[in-house]
Amino acid sequence: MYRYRTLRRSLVTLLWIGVSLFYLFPYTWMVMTGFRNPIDTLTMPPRFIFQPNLEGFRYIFTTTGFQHYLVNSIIVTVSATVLIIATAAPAAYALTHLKTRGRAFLLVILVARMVPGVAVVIPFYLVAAKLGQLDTYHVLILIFTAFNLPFAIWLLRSFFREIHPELREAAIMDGCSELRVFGRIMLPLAAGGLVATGVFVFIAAWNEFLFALVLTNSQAPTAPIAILGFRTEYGTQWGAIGAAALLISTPVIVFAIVMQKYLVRGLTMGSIR
Amino acid sequence: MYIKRRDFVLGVSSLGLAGLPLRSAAAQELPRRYAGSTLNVLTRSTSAFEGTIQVGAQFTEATGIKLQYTRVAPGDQYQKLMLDLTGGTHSFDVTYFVYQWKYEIAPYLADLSTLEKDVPGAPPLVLNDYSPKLVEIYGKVDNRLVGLPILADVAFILWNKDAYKAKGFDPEIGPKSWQEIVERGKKLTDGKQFGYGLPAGKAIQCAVTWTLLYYGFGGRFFDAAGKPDLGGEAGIKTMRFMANELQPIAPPGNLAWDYNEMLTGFQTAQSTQTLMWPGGFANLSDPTKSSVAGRYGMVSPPGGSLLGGTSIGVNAKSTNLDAAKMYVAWMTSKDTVRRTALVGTPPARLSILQDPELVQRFPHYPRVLAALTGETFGYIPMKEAEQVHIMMYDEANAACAKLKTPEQAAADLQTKAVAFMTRRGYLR
Repeated sequence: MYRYRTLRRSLVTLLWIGVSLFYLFPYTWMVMTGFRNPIDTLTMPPRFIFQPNLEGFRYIFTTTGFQHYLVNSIIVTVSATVLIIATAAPAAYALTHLKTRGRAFLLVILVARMVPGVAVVIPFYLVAAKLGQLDTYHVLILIFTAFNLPFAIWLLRSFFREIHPELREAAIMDGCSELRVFGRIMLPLAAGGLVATGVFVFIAAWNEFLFALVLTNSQAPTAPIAILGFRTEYGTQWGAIGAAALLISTPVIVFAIVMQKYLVRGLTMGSIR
Repeated sequence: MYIKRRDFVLGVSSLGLAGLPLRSAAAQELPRRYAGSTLNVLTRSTSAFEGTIQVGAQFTEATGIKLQYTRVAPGDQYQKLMLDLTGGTHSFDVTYFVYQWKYEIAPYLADLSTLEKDVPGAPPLVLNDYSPKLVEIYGKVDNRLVGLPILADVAFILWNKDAYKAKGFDPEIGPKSWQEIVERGKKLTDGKQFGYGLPAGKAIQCAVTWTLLYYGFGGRFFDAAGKPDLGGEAGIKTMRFMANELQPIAPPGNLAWDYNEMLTGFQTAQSTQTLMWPGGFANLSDPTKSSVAGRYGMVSPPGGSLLGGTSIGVNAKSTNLDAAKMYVAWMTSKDTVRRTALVGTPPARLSILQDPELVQRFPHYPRVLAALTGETFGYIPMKEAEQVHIMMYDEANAACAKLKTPEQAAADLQTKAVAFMTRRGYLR
């Protein structure tokens, strides 16, 4: 019996190791690509032992000005995330706890989430061009906000629904204004939800590609645009792609690990109600 | 063919040293009346253009004109440029473009033929320093000069010398006909090594291969009446050759190949013969990127070379029109082209292709020169040429994938091209 249990546990462990390796392989390969000579990336069978170098990193920083793209990504993503949370939190609170015609509004805002970006990117381009706002941070920030706001409102609404309405009513009876209830009672209680929502919208804005591609030129292009440029008509810069991909994915991965418990909470919210 | 890292470093260092007197010379020669203005330049993220960005600082120093570059991936430049021009945004004062687009963008580009008169003090264009065919194909539309050659590219057939030697072929002598390419390719196909890196994906290099073969078999894009002639005898022969001769000796997966896969296949010695553009030689000659560095030969394709390449033009609605023209004149001037050539931009000027120092560093220059001044031809010369390229590679891909017979693919190509041109009003 003991031997059977040990064997079973070992098999399960092995299975999980296998699954982990399977899932981690693309990321591992990407990291290796960033530190390898291109010939080591292309060789068949694949070469796992190689002489690491920083040529890909040197190339992206000294030749392509990748730091400019990274800074743009940080500015746009952080601004959009802050704006989304600042807008979505009161909206979600109002839709949950105040007597509003929320249901219709909730359905309406979902439409913005359902429209594929590619269907509206050209109209957005023309409007931005007419307003002289092409290639600016704020046009990206506004569009990222508009596209992620419905998701943020829906997600935050689930968190606000977990807070008992009696809390609000008691505070109101004690003389709190609606703004004070929201700021002093509801927001602290929903802090976990705010962080979880922030993580999701941060990741979505950080990885956004289509609008950044069409609406930016030399001033505000973001990091994912730079990666595309490493595949050219005269060859693919494998080292540069690996190095840039590593730099782009690292903040998201670190952020996701740090906020892991909120992320899981956000994903499972509403599943046991 | 082999460029050592040391040579490259020496080249760049000598460029830096040579740059000092040149820079001061440039500062004296170029007028500063546009100082303080900013030019927005749309270029591609291709490494071959990095030199053109590097030397831009010298232009700014000499003229006081600031340069802002938008570097986009090659696959996105067309959409970006067309959206900008047709949407009336005109974000870019200067644009790089491949000549296949010239008929569409010509109405938006300034005529450069009077540049020297329009912009006193701009470097002279010296158009007789280019192959006449190059100026015609790269830049002229209805007698207007809308672009100047900034990067000359012409297709070559490459072969792996080690593989040739191993199979008993003279490694110094390349194939002289398409049939010979196939015959050698059959013998070279062995295990994981394949005879020809055929790009049969639904992408431009498949259309390039189709065009090369079509011309090689005596085909011409239009008949005497100006109607497309893509599905006749030469068209059928081309489809048959791709599907029945080249496809069987191509590596697996080639039905999705474009340039990058073609380059990778040859770099890793998977394919032993292939089509290639000089812009890719820097990758092939770098031992950290290529296992055939220094061990490949090149020859013009049988039947003549197809011109690739890139032009540079000025937006006619630029708010800094004369400054933009001066930049283009300076960027294509002999001195600047020499400097950009040193850092890897394939030059278009004949004098630079014959420069002894550069020839020593880039031994393929004489072959490029011979190809540019010899039997060359361009892509199908029409508005919206890219649409016909799509038809070419769709049909060639279908023939290679055995989804259609070569005869059916050729007939469909002809039908589609005629229908498209009629619909667009290009045919009556």
